[in-house]
Amino acid sequence: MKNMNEKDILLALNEVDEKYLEAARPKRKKKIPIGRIALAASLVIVIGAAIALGMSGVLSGGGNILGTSGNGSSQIPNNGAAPPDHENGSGSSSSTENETNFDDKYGAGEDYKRLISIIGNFGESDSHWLERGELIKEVDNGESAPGDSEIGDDNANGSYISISQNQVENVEEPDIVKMTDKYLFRIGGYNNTGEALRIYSVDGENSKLVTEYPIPYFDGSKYSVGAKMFLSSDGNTVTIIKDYIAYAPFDDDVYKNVYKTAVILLDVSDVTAPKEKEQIIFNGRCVFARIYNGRLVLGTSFLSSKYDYDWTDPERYLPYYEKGETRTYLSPEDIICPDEIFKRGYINFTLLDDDLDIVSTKAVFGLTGITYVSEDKIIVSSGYGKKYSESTDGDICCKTDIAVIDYSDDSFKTEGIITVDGWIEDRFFIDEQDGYLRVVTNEYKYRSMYSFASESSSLYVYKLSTLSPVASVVDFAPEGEGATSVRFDGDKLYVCTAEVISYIDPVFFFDLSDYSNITQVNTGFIEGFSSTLISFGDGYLLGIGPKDSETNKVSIYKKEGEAVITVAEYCFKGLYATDRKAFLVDADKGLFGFAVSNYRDENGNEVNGTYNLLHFDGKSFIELLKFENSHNITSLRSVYYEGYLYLLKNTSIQIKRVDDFE
Amino acid sequence: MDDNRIIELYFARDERAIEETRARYGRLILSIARNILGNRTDSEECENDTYLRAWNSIPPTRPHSLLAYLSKIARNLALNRQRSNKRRATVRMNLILDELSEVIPDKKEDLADEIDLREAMRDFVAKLDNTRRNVFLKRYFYMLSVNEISEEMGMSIGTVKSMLFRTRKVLRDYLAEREIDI
Repeated sequence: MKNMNEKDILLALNEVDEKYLEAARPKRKKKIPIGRIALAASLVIVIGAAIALGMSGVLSGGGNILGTSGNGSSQIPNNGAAPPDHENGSGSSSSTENETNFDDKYGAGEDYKRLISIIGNFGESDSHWLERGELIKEVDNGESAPGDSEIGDDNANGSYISISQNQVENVEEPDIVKMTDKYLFRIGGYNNTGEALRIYSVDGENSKLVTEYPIPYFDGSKYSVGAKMFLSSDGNTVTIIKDYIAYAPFDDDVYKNVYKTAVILLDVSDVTAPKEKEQIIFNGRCVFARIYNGRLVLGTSFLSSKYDYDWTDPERYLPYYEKGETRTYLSPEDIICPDEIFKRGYINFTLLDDDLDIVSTKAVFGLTGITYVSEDKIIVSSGYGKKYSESTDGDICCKTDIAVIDYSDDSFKTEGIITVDGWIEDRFFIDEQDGYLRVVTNEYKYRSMYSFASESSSLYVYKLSTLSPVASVVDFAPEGEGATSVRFDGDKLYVCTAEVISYIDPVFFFDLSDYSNITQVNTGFIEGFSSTLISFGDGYLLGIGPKDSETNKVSIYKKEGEAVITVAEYCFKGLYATDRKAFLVDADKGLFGFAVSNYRDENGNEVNGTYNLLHFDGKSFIELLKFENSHNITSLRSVYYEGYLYLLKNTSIQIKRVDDFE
Repeated sequence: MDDNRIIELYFARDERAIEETRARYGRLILSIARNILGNRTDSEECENDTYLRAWNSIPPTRPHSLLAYLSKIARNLALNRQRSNKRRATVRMNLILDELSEVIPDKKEDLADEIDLREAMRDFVAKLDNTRRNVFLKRYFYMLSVNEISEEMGMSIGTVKSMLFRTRKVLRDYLAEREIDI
């Protein structure tokens, strides 16, 4: 008999099977000297905590733009010697010694002073959240710009083939592999510490490495978080998005590292000799990047320092970008600042043309969260579980704010904010279709912070032009279950709900063709659940997830009559990638490829990992290929093209002939 | 040098075992200690104590997994050092303890012993699916931050948090069902 506490739970974890501890082992981070690990980790914690804090209703009616009379962006040479160039605004601000210093040195105006005042006082307010905001500006309900075909013209580098499983059709997402019908482009490691772009010819068993181009390593950078890329529709230009952590150019106890995002434009028209065309660097880490209609829309998150401010140094608290020799700080009119804030970071939206010239930029102070990007809208949810309301019967419910930003006419316009019950697990829980916003949320109700009452999932539909609710299906999941994966596909919605260890898996097919009459059918309770859902064409839905505590499954579902049935199932052991870009998905050909990690069998023997290529023939899965693979399952990419499987590893390529299956 | 060869060095009482262990696992051990203790000096002492404890216990023990074996030693030493010295917990440690306070069921009269809790935790972790198990252990065994887990697992921060939240909820129910009171 002894009195135990939370630490005993920690100690009891020492009894966990060692194979599980090996599998969960933290990954090694490259390029950080041992003595620096904690510093980098502490920055990550700060940023992570800030992200978790979420946004504070910044786009509500209470939000406003700093300054009204700025004259454009403020440019300061990289050495920081020259001041920001802007007009003084009106209004008052409490003057402090530091602000005076800033004023003396840079001639800073009231617009920046107000920002300084807000950041300096961050956290002093007890009021964190605004209620559902007013619409800031009525939405132009006109048609969005037509999408640029991503299939390029016939040219030397071939025609672009989109393989990155974009969430929104024609809105390209970056990844470590891109391709044309002549070349494969892969970003991988280089000399143990750096990264390189490798270009391989696409020629079956005769494919070969054409070139290896080291990606620039930036002065002062500590390590790269991992570069990704876009490939232009003509296959002649690669746009690299590279996150990296750099030593802060200033030194205090709080702020020793800074995230930066570099965008690098490479001319690869001669694949044997890529050339850097342009480069631009933002402070902050990349939270999303998309290319639509030839333009890059970029979201970077920059955390301003609060502590021990040296207000003479705008680098500590203002978003900026650097191009060539010029550093440009965002001007006050490009910074939206709420009256009440909950987070001392910015999210900075930037639209760039194909020469990396800035078309438009806007930073919102206090905004962050899960982001969905379509052809003309950016939808950002607030962070995890930071807003609650209490019902009359004592339940405490989490709520999520969802901000809508329009960028259809080359500028960022905040449209408003809505509040929904529950929270959003990932970006696939958000969708926009024909002027309607559709979201799925999970909701947990508490009787107290440590007493759970219930869990449920709901669907909400809003009309974007008015941000008014149109329809909802509340609490559709079985009792105690939440959505584990969601996939919107036009007027269809697929949702899998499950409880964590009960391995029960209802899959729901919603018909959203008539919002006044949303209907659903489901599988009923079946084994396991899906952590990822993928539309597989012809009304088929592919799900991958656990079947039980030891086994995973790939399943194909289809609506049949008034039920959803499991058409096919393939079971395997070992881990699969959580990044859906690591899957090969070719619905037209019925192909699904994925890597599986090594694992220990019931006798404790190590079983090697494999790569599996499956063909779904409308009735069942056929194993086209299964071979040993020891490569990291998350960073492995695979492509099927004209009878061959191309396995793109970190620094090499493996090619397998696939027997005719069609 | 691989684990088997390092373990053979221990069995041969060859002091290179310590250096090879440090080279292969030193960073992991130090990071586990630092996540718990925060203080660099304490963490380095804990790292050195881990090597000493491994030296004194291998042989006769022949670890199946050297990584897990050393991680457990480092973790135990750091937790005990933190508890016995009554040092202020790190911010991360406090967060983790706060989170774990959620899994403590309502008090009942009978208190189970520690063995039951260990068995329960072992069984509970084994029942989790691979992804949730990895996230759970990264957080509560290796004491990683949510952001670090997010990066390692390729998940959003919200997903990691909600996954941890839901796993704690299930753990709480699981412990209550097994009548484990802590």
